[in-house]
Amino acid sequence: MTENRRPAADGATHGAPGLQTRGTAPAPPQSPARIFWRQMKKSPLAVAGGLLLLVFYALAAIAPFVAPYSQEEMDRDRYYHPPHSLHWVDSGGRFHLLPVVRQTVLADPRTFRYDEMPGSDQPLRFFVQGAPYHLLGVVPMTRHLFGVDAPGRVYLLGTDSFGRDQFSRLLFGAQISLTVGLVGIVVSFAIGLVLGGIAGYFGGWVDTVIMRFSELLLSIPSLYLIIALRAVFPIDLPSQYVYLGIVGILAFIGWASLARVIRGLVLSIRKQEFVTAAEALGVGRFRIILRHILPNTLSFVIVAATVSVPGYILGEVVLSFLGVGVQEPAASWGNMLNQARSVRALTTFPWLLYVPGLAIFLTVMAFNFLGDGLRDALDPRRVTGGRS
Amino acid sequence: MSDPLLRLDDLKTYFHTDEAVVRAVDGVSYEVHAGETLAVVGESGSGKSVTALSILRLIPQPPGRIEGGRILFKGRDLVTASEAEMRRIRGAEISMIFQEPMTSLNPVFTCGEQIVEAVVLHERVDRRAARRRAIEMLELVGIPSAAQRADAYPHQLSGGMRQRVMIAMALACRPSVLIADEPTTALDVTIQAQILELLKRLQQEIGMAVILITHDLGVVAETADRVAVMYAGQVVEYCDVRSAFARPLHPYTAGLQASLPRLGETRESLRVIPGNVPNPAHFPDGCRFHPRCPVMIAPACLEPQTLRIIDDDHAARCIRADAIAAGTLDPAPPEQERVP
Repeated sequence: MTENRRPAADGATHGAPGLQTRGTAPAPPQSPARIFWRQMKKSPLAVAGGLLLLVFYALAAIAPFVAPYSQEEMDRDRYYHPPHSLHWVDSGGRFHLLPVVRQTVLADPRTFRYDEMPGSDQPLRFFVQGAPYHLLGVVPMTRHLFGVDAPGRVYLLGTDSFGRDQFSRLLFGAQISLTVGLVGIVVSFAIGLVLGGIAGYFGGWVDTVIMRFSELLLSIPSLYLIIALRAVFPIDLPSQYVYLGIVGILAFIGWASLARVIRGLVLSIRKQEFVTAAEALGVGRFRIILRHILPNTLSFVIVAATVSVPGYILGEVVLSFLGVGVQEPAASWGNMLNQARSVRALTTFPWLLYVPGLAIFLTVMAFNFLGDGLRDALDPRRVTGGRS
Repeated sequence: MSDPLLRLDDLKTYFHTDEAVVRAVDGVSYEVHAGETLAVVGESGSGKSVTALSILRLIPQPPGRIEGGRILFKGRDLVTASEAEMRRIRGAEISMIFQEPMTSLNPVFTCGEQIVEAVVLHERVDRRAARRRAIEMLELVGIPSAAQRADAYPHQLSGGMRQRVMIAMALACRPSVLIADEPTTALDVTIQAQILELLKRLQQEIGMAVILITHDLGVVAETADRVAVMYAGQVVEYCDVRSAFARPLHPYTAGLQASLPRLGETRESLRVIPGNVPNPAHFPDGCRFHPRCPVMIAPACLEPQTLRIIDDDHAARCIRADAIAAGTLDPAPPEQERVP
């Protein structure tokens, strides 16, 4: 105890904080969050993916405001309308800062060819009056982010076979398609973490029962299981119940593989001395699982969650594509894609495919990039790199 | 003498593996009084750590099981205590610190949080009071700028600092018994001395009993009041620390001491106890030390031996202990041939 100074006097006598830490580990200014950020900045793709997802989720949240029309509004004059082209120079040759759209007429009813009417310029305007809605479900509003004055229409991404605006449906569909992943992850990871933790910590017959059940789930082809489970619900359920049903089905299937990995992690963590130390302090079993063991799997769980979100999004797409998911007229990216099933749609109305397709593609890619970046940034060897 | 705080009475902890029944602890008895330090000495595999874990009932179960004996703590038998009762005792009345300061703190929580958890688990205090206590404890164990260090994560501290945090955590609820399982083995020699000094000081301040598990005879000589020497799951010698060093009555204890090189002594080779620690799944019949014993006599040593009091307060598990005590028999292993 030669160098043991009186701790209370320590801060008072030595004004410089650097002196206090002499001879021991450096002072701890770096929280794990800071280290995490420093690592994240090293992978620009992950940051870009994260930002893109933030934008997507924000747009989905305020979809009724950003969308010029509602998801169900049909324009009976303009089925299969191609995306409007935006003109910065109007028919009179004048330049506009905000683009103008020209109204169209159906030129050929067989091929749904639309021609622009000369002189029908409609300037794109911000905060136009439109159909009333409730922003975020509470604030009553009638203004939309952009649009053209009635009776003109603007279809940035074209219309579908019912003459509904694809751009608006994409936004409303995002509300379902993007949240199905998050809610599904929360549900299935909660189940998977708790069951995997219990199985790994207690072992014995508890472990056997949980693991055999998860293997049972994994041994059934998931697509068959999804459709079989979907068949349990009546086909004409209100769309919000269908949504919950889909989340439930996907989560019910998704927890099994996670629980197996968590169990393996728990098996190795519970052998570490800090678990015995916690037991020696009198910490209860469930508290040990929840507070001491599972937090140590966090870096794995965050990464696993991020890379499994696309699976849920695609799961919803598959269900809706097969016609057992979200029911028309409610929009989801899956049933938007459903409209692009025919060869004719692919050749003549390609926007039916590439609008939802690109949205799904970008989202999935963004999640994967983000997951990769998180994996690097949360690498436990790097976070606890101070080990001597 | 007053009643002991903790008394082990013929404790048996067996592990039932697929191949054999491992009798890791086979009839261990010792006791420790308030304010006293009992050193439990022995090679790895002698069952000293399993004994300690048995006291807290932390034996992995299955395969482990306490097969017999009693653990009397303040008059209660911990072998038959309920799990809830054990949880109240762990950390509050009997605490334990471990060998590896690197792994015995949870890496995802700050040191302060971990001490706070120990406190709120056993005492009716709010988190703010618990945090004050945590900082107090960190100061008590000699961590400079404790308030700041309370927010440090374990990986930001050195090994010695971490062991201090462990001690702070174990002592946060002022337990009456502290089990220290090789608390200094993983540390540098200079830090070792500091930690032992700290334990000694805290023991005097708190007045607790300490069970110090170690294989380091130097540590024993420095800190212990009494010594229990363990070999192959049994206590082979049990006495106060002076007699253990001045007059060992069991050939194993004598061998351990003889194998210790002494400063200033010129010797060509090291003295060693011949042979190896027996496999706990297959202990030798009779006296478990007899295959390695320099003073073994057949057939008497092929019979199981009991721990018996030889003189005063000095017990040994050896049939020839009387002769050793009388000074007519040298139990130390013979000088070896030159080891290259």
